[in-house]
Amino acid sequence: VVNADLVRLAARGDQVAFESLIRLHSGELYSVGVRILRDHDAAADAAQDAIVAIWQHLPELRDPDRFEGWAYRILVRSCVSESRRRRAAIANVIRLAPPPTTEMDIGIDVANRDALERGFRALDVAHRAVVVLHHYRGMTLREVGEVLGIPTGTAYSRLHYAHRQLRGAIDADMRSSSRPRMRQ
Amino acid sequence: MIDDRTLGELIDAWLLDESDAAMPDDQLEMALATCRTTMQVGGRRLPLNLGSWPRPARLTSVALLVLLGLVALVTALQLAGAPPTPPPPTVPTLSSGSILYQDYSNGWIIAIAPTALSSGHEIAGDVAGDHLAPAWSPDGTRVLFTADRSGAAELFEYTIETGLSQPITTCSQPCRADREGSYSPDGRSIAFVRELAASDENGAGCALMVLDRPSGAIASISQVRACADRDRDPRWSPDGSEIAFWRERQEAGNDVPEAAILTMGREGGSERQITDWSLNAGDPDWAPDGKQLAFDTFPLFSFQGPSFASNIHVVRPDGTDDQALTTFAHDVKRATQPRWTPNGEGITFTLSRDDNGALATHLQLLSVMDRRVSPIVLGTHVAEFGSWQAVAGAP
Repeated sequence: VVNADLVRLAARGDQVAFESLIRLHSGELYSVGVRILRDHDAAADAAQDAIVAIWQHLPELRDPDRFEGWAYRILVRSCVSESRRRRAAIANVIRLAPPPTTEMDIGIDVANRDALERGFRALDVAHRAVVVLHHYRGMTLREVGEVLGIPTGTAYSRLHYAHRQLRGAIDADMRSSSRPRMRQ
Repeated sequence: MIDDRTLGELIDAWLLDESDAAMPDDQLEMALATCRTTMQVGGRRLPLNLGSWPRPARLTSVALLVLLGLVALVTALQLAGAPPTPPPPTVPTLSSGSILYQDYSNGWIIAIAPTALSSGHEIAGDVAGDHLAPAWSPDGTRVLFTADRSGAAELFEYTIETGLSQPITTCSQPCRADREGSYSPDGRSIAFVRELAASDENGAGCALMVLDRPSGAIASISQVRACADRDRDPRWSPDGSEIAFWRERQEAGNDVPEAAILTMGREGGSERQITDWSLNAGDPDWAPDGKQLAFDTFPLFSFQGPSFASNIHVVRPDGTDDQALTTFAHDVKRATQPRWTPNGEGITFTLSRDDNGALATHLQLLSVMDRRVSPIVLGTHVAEFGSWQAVAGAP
């Protein structure tokens, strides 16, 4: 059964089809949520909310082939809501533990990673979503605009703004660090 | 400063540098269990067993049910003879003529609404690419715009009578793009922004240029600056002697850019800074009598994110008597991109509203006298950079 068929069946109320569909896509939704929110618990809550919203609104999706982008849009909205909910309890947010790295597969050092983390956390979720969908999911800005329901120009300007913030964080880090930076 | 490509590669690597753990099974199963128990309400599926829900989703559903109740109550009140709906908004008779703006429909387009409170129609469909930054010619018979094809942008002119467009500038090495053009008051010159290819280790740069149309000569009137910190949106004074523009900069150690309005002579030369950097002013436009400049604070697409209060201001060209004409307090609603009406009694502007990250933009008319605000173009949720056509004999 192809994805579009699962979407059609789920939209008509087929629970088995819906659960198959979600098990196919929950990993992607969660991964994107983790990268936007920078927190595993928050991402799990956002993905949970998104799954319920997807079920609630699936009958309104006209084109089954656009399910993936539509689901990302719902996820980003859930991320916005989750971020607002957690803003008051910011102390409880658990920073992502840096994964083990090797010389072979990673071209980023500890200082840059910290600077990017700091700069990224200063962005709001709307800007983070554009960065993640473009750089992590590999979407063009036109696709990002379609997914988020914003003009391509807005997607471009959000990415431009985010880049400025991230570049500023890296540059500030480079200026303030007098010691040689070592690869981890 | 790291270049764009290196920054992009760093971000790619950083985002990939996360473990791709699966969504926790218990939370996935809880979400699926929630979906299994639903009720159908008006085409929507609403869960019944709210008690077993995670708190956020439970609150969302309760809110939705309360909202449905309120809608039903309001409908009942209206049917029972509630006060009649107020009449549709009227537009003060500030100017005659059509309204030019940019819209989004599978790409940026230029549109013209024939009168106030009408819907617009696309123009310049004979040119490929995104169409941006439209500007009326002084006599209102032509439209200057930027056609952007994947970053390679050039200026075009659309003639209302023929419905045809023609290129105004030809951009070839070292030119990489021409953008944001505006006519001089006599229509013989065009000021615009040119992006130039890297000529040294400093990378690409941008500068303000003026095209003399009779001779075709193009002269630079400003220093080449990094395009991210460039001078933008040149606008001619009514007597053609000065050009106003805005500049964006990012000071070392400050993550948020700053912006200010400046003016210079039409040949370039000494600059005069009109607004302080702390005001973050952009998008200047001269009043028809040349006695004031309208501008916005925190221009829409350079400042995105929380805490940016965008409002329309006017100031004298010497930088004195700055007055805010709108008073939006935060970024949910913002007023930007002011353009004076030809008779100087009103200012069109873009009223934007951020709806959970989705931006809706509408054109409004601000009366300078009483500061009343009215919508001016219907039928679109993305209308920006609106300006009123100058019509001979109009008030």
